[in-house]
Amino acid sequence: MSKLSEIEALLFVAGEDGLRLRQIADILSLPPTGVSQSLEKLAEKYQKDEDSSLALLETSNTYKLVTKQEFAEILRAYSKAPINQSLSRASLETLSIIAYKQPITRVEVDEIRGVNSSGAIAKLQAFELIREDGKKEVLGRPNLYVTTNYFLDYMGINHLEELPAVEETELVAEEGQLFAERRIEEEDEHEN
Amino acid sequence: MDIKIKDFEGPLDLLLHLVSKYQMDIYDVPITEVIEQYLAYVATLQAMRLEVTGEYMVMASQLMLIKSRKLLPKVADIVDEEDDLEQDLLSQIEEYRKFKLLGEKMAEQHQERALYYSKPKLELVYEDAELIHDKSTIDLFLAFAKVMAKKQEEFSKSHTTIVKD
Repeated sequence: MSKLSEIEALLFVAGEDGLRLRQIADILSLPPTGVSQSLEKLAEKYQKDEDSSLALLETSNTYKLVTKQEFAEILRAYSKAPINQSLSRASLETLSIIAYKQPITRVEVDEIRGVNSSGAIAKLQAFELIREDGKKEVLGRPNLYVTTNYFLDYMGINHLEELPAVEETELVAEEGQLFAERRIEEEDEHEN
Repeated sequence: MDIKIKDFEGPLDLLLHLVSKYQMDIYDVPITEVIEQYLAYVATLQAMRLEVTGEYMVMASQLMLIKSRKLLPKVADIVDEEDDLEQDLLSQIEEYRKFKLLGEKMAEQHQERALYYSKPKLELVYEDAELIHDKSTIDLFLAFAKVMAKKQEEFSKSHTTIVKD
C-alpha cells in the first residue's frame, strides 16, 4: 500500500463531499505538508495517464475525486447532480447580491433588485447555497443571509475573494472609474 | 416593442434595458424620455390586458412623481427634492446593473465547475459502529422539507428567460 493509493481510497469513498487536508493527514497520521505533496503527485499521475478519466479538484478547501473536463459531454446525459445544474436568472442575481453584500437581509436584496426575492431566496436555501446567519438588530429583527461552504464548491473556488471582481466587468472607461472607486470603499468596509 | 415583460427581472431590469439603448454614461441619459418610454410600455401592456406585476406599477408611480415634480418651478431655499429622487433612481439602476453583470460572471464561473462530475459519498456499514442519538424529530422534518422544496422549485422553473436581447 503506497501513500498515493491510501489517499485515493479515502477520496473515492468521500466522493462529492470530499476531504480536507487536515482530515486526510489525521486519518493517515502524516504531516499535512506530506499529504499536500502526495495530492499533487496524485493529480499529476491522473493528468499524465491518458487512460484515466479522473482528476483531483480542490474547492471549498476540500479535495475531491472528479472526472476530467473532457467527459462532461458524455456525463451530462447521464448525471443530474445539483452541482452541475445552472440557476435561473432571478436566482443568479439574488445569489450574486448575497455573495458580495453578505450578511444581508431579504428587504435589502429586494431594494437592489427592485422586485420581491422571497422565491429566489427559498430556492437558494433549498439548494444550500445560502443560509440564515443571525438577525439584524432593527425593527422586525429580520434574518441575515450568508453563503455556505457548498456555495464555494458550486463556484469552484476556495475563498470568497476568488469571486469575479467588479472592475473586470465589461464597462465603458468612465464607468469603470466609478466602479473602481466603489470597489475600494467596499474593501474598506470588508476590513472593518 | 418586441420584448415581453416576462423576460425582465423586474422594473429595474426594464429601466436598464431602456437606458442602455442610449449607449452613453448612465448619468447623462435623458431621464424624462426614459420615463415616457417606461410609462408608454406599461400602458401598452395594460391595453393588451397582459398581467403586470405590482412592482412595475409601484415604479410607474415613482416615475410619475419625478416627472410631475420636474415640471414645477424651483424654490431656491428648499433642497431640490426632485433632483434627489432622480439621482436615487439612477444609482439604483447603476447598482442593479452591477449585480446583473456579476451574476452573469458567476454563471460563467460555475459553468467551469459544472464540467467536473463526482459520485455521492459511499455509506460504509460496520458491525461495531454505534448509533449516536443526535437527531431529533426536527431534523427529520427539515430533511424531508428540504427534499420537497428542491424538487418543487425545479418543477416551477417553467419561467422563460432570455440570454440577451
